[in-house]
Amino acid sequence: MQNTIRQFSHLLRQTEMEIGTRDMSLLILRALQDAIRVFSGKTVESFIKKLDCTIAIACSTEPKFALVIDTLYQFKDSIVTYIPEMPTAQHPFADHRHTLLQCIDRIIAHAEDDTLLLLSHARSLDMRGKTILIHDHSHTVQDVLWTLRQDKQDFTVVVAEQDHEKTMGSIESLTDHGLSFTVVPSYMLSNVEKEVDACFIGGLTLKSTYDFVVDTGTSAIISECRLHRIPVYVFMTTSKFSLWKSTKKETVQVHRHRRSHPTRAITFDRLKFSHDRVPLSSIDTVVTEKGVHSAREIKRIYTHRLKERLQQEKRSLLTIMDEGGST
Amino acid sequence: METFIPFLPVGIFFTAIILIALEVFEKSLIVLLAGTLMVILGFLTPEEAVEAVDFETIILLMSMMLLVAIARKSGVFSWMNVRLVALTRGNPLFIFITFSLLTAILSAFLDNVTTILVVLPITIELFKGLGQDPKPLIFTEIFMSNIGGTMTLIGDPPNIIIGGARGLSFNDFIVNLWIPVSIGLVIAMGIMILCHWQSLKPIAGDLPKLMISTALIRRLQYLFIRLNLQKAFVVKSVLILLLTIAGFTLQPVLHIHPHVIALFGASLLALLCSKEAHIHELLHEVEWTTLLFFSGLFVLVAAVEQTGILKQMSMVIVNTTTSLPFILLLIIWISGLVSMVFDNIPFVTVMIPVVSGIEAQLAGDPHVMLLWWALSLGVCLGGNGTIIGASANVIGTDLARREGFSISFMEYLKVSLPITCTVLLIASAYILTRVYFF
Repeated sequence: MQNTIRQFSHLLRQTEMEIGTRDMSLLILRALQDAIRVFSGKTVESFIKKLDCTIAIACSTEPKFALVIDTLYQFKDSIVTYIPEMPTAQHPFADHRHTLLQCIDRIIAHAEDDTLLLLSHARSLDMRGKTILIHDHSHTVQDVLWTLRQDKQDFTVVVAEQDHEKTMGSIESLTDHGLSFTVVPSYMLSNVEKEVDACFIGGLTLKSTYDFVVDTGTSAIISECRLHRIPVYVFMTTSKFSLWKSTKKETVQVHRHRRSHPTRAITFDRLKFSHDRVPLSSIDTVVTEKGVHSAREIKRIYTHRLKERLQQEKRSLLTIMDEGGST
Repeated sequence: METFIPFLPVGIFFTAIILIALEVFEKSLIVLLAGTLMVILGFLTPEEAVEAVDFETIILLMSMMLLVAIARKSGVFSWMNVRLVALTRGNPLFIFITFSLLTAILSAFLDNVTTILVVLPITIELFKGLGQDPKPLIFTEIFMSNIGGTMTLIGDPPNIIIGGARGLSFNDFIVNLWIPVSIGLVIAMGIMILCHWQSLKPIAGDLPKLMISTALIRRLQYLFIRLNLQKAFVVKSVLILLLTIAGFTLQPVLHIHPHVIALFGASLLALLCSKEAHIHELLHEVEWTTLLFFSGLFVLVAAVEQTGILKQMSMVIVNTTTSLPFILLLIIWISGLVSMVFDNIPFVTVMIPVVSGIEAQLAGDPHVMLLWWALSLGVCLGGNGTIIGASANVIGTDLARREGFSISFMEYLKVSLPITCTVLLIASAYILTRVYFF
């Protein structure tokens, strides 16, 4: 089991780095469909037990990916909705394979609907004639900018340059959408702060400590924005919420590299961190598929979803314990 | 002193071989210097030295390198890998068999090193991602590349040299070697599967492992889509490659030498793809040091041949025994054992005049052509024997080390030696069957 958790953690980390959180969760759903097509279990009930093990593994990865866990729970709930539970009967898996595949198609469609809903709520923002600062390589932020432009809102974008690959990703996306932009190294932003009217951020997740987990460097930018009273907007669907009690304040991964000075015989340690944490209280507005919210409203939504998830987990745990946790 | 002068070329030759084996200097420089020395010392005239270089072999090698370089740049191999990976549906056994067979088939038409570079990285990534030890698959793919390459004229450089020296066609190699090569492939793969069955068992009943497997495949497909392949480039590369291979197959009908066919294919593809791949970039991909190495080697062997020592060697063999089966077995096993530890190119270059001499002595025997097939089987299959036996072995284990899977000489030997000996036994059985029954 530990080996499987390690493999899954590594896969999710690498995939998230390469393609972003949203695309990663879609990839996992498609992979689940592929797995269902070749799964050799006899009954749907045995499949659900294996699914519970899979969910337990997803809940044990380091770091945890809220979107992946959320989609797996959604899938499990949808199986129960579409295949009536009959405790004494066993549903042949082969007969219901197609239904299970359709459940995942519905989840994918629902996720796409959530994104469209978020974008429709983002339309209510008035960014006409403004300068918007972006930093991370969030696909959601890129979609929001494109939506606002399609709404005939005229604005300019300042890209705070960070990791080369991520900045190039943002530049490609802005170019493909025909949005005018300027790139400024993030450590030189103080020179353009006065021109910035809003800061758009896409977060990885919101934790139970009410901190957003964001790209490295975002925390400093948000601090600057707070200092200069530039409103900060976060765009994130609620499926990205980390619906578990965070046991550690910091789950940021530290990468330590040994480097050499280019011209002198000096070696030194260079630290890189995987993410920043930004308190919810630093954010002015959070836009989700449910609407445009203040920090207080988001806390309420989060608490409600957390309660629902803890109940789901209890039910799954009971199933695993009943069957002795086969994997 | 005069008694020793005829042996000087032999001495220079063996000194060069030892320096190559010890990897003291770059081997192409060693043979070039040694070859030039032969001319300076008067063992060969400059004209004889130029004549000794088998330009047909050089041109064939250069053309195939160019063809493969262009095809690689088009991304056709990445496309093929991703398509095959999707077909396996995450089943470890299917991945093992699919990529082993792919390695064998590709290495019959491309050089073994390119095959390993194309196939090994994706399979290491898949097995690593599944939490499995990729070493069994690494070993198998190395074995497959050497065994598969034995089957065709262009699959392995020794075959190109043998084919050029004896006038053997592309089809001659396939017709005469497909049986021992196919059996060898199946046996080698079968042994590896049996020995590592625990890690290759189906995972269709294990949802978490299955999901990791299919997610890995999806990730590879996603990354591949972002490569932005140009369809026209890929199509042109595939078409011209297939056309070239068709040209080799139809050589008896077309009456065109293989090196001409290859050069035509490479030039045509380079011209058609000149926008996508500039010729200057492509020429960097040609291994000029390898071509210089071949050229220098031809000169060296020509000088040794002039001493008459190689002819004497063939006469000694024939005088010792006129039993063709015994001579064939000697050739297979001596070639095989030497190829395990030494570079098989110099060995096969030296053996060609020896085998030619034996062929001339046994001219009346209807099975005398088997001498060449025995040589080809011995030198190509023997290369699997140790980690240094073939370039594909070195490249494959180096790639594995870079991914964190170190393979030592002894670790490789424990796996490779039994399999190589088994495959050489199969080759021996085939050759003897041909002598006695066909």
